[in-house]
Amino acid sequence: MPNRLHVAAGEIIRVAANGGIVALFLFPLLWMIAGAFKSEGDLLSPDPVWFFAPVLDHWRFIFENWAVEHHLVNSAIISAATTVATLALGFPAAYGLSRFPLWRKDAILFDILSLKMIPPIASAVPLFILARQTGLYNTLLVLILLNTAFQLPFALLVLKSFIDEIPREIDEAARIDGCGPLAVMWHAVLPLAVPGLVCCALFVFIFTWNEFLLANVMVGGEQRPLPPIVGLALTHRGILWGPALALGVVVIAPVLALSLMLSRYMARGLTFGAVKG
Amino acid sequence: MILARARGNLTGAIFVGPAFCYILLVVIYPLFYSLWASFTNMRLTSPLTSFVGLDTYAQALGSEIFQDSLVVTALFLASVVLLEFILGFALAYSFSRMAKTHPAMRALLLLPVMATPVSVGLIWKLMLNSDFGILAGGGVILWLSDPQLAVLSIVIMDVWQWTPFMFLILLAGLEGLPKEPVESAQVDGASRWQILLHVTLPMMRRIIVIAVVFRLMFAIATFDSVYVLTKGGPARATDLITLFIQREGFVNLNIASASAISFLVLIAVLVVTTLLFKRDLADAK
Repeated sequence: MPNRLHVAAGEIIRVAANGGIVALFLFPLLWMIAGAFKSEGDLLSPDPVWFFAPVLDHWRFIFENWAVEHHLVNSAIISAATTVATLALGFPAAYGLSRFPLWRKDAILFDILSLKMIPPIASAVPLFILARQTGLYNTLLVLILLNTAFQLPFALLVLKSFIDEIPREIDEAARIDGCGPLAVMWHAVLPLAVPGLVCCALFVFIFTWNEFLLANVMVGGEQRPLPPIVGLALTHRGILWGPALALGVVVIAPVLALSLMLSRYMARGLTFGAVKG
Repeated sequence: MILARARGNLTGAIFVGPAFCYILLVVIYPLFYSLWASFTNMRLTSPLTSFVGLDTYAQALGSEIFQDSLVVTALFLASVVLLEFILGFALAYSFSRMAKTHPAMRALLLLPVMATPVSVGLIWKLMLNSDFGILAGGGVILWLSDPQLAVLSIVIMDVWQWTPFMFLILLAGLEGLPKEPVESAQVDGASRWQILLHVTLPMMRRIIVIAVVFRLMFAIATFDSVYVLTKGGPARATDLITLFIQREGFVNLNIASASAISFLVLIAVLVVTTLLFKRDLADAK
């Protein structure tokens, strides 16, 4: 009996300790969200203010002065279009990689992974020049086109890891029913790959939504999505803290909500299918 | 047989083709453009571009700003990968010893990984602010204006954001391990430390390589959060190579120099991925 009590106590301590660490990691996020609702005085007080009457001043400010709703729509358009384009190009390719005996397939898979490892800044300058030459500079389209290319290697590998798990007998059965390769993919494999598509779509949407580097150099003014807008709060004369935090919350809120939906697939997504989790 | 294989190849190529061509166009083209530009003296401000051979590389490698940036980047990469591995492993081990899996705790812990880097930069700019930041000890610790503390600041920010990533991958690894080796070591009277060092860690080899290499590669690309938090300052103390390239290309408009350094980074990344990774990735199949 004392032994069982001992075990139960140990478990409670472990859960409490790990829970405490989780809370520690969440604190910075919560602190920013709280800050976005504090009055200027509470926010800039040298002693941290824990209890406060929430105010909406900063929220009113960012919507009235910076037309945040406009840039929110830009972000949504860019992310949604990128997601659709990435899946449309990525799914057939992932299917091909999963099912057909391609020449030097392992090398191809490794090269795809290597491509994803290239820091985007390394190609930003040539792409910027290319965008200027093609007249795509300062359009939403250029961000959609570029993000699609940058997300494709990720989508290929993750989708392939899902398709690999669908038994090949499904393909066989459809083929015996007289389906050509395209029909096999569309009618037999695609319906079973829906969880993989949803997982991949959410990741691509979040990554594109978070993207700052390209958005910052490829578009300006009206065309900007949300992340570069944060720069408006960091002025030469100082930081407009309230609006900055409200903006930070606007940018991060959809990401946090979608991430919670994705938690089951996190390990797989973050290692491009290398870890099943 | 050969014909059937060739047909499979062709059908496969038709499926893979469009995505592949697109990636080649948008991702590979810039690399060749960079390579070409790096052998010239191209500037966005000057219409005259001429071929200068390796001069741009020589200038870049010889410049003190570049060398400093390289040192800061190396220091940053080594610290964050090491710290995140140790903390992530400790946390994963601690989670694996709980009786239940607690999916809600895991999901919440992963929020920093997915969080928008620009917002992450803001969060830490707020918490480390020397006048009213909650971590500034009432204005005593000058996190962002002292050069050494500024480096520590970007490390802390990165460790906060990415330790959960290491945690998640290593936890998946720990949970996938067979139980028998640990049990038989227990029967043989091995201590918990001995089991961890001599049984668990060796079995985790592949997953540790995946976790570390992925983290290293993403860490090299770190830009947004540091750009918001310190913009490379004070006095270039946190001037990561990505910030350096961005400044050369988009502020100084020195395309040649930005391209040359991009290319050096690229080669470094490809060498590291190939050396560290190819074998372990192949093992997976």
